[in-house]
Amino acid sequence: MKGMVIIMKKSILALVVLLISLITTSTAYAGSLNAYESDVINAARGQFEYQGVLYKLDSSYVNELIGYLAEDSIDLTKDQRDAVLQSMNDYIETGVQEGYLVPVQGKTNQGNTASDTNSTSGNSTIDTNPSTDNSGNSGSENSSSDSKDTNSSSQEDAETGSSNNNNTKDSETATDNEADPASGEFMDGLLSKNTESTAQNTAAADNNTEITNTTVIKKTGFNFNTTIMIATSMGVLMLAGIIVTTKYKFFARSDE
Amino acid sequence: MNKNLVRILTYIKMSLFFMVLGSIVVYIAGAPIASYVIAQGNMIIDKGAPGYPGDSNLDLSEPIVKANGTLDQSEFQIPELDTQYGTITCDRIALTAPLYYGDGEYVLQNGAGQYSLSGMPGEGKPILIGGHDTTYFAPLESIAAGDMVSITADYGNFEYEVVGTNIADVSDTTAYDLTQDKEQLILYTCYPFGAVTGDRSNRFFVYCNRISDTTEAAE
Repeated sequence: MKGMVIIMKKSILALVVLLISLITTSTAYAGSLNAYESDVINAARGQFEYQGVLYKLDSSYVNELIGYLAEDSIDLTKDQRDAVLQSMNDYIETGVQEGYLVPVQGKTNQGNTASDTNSTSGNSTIDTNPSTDNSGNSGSENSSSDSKDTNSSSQEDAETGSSNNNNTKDSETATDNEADPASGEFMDGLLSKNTESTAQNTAAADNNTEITNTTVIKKTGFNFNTTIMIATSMGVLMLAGIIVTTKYKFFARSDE
Repeated sequence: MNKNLVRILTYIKMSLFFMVLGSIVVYIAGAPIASYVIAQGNMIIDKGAPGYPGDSNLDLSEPIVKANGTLDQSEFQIPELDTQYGTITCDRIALTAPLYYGDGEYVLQNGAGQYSLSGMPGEGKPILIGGHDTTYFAPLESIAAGDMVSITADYGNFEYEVVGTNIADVSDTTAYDLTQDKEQLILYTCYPFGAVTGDRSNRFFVYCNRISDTTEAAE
């Protein structure tokens, strides 16, 4: 009797361990972006104001940022997001001077852009509240041109685009773009201060280093293997329980 | 402590333990089925009204597809992640799927997802698009070389011709080349089609070359 109880306890313990291991493996979605990482990307795709002129981030750097944030090891928290957005603000001047922030053609800040970066006399800031970043999508008072200014980046001309074609492109370790020493500094500024994976970040940021994205091909099929395995396990456990209970008369009255 | 009280507490503890355990079991075992049901439901709903909701952040006030079929890069804007920006169709095999920018789990439950680091239609770069084999991309089982695949984006229409198919392991990086200089549309889904058990590590790839486009924005 006592031995059976011990066996039952062990069975339950084994089941719990199995379930916990399944949970930890099934909830890790490789390569996905969480909401905070999306906020950072949206902010990077937006426009930055410096001394009355609107700038945008070169699309190759946006791609680099997406590739970096999509890595399994990177999982930004809310605080990290806020810190990253703040550091983006800190690097606007550097970005303009070193050329990785490029002016938006014919655009100067009239003080009414939908993304409105809370600018004051040439000193731009980025709103760390992502809800305002998305205002261009819904606010009725925003004109279409305003919403155009929000949350997206225009790509550079075709030549620039093709020259960066190899940048962060596929799972086969794409070599970073060869030019522009500002790239490393920029990525350092954006990310290294604010994430725990400093070593990986540095590797991603340095010029001529490799960026690997191993999640190009996604899970495009449904898989009921886990469901079937659990259902089978539960069935076996239930059957064993019935047999043991019947054999040892666990729930029988004393006179039976 | 009173024996009865101990017994009652034991009943409560055991009840809670099995309730939590049962919930975990139901969650783990039920999540794949729930995901499948949601995806099927989304497809049934979408089939009634294919198209896109128009909440894209693209500004169509000026044409951004030039007469030669290339994008005006100075005007073109990348859609926001996980937003629908068009529809992908292949009439011969009755393929119609909403096309999203991004290919996360949510997107794949609602349509076809474009890998965000691949090119946009009209950009002159390879485009990698995935979809579930039991829902939106199920018709790909019947696709053949010579079939026409269309992408109706909210900034223009783009046509591609199927030039080949391939079955490869999910980890086989030679099955696609995102660094090539031509605009090749690459569709993929799980293989074998319709299976929900067993090994799901194979992918079915469809390769299409761009053949034409129009300068008119859809709708």
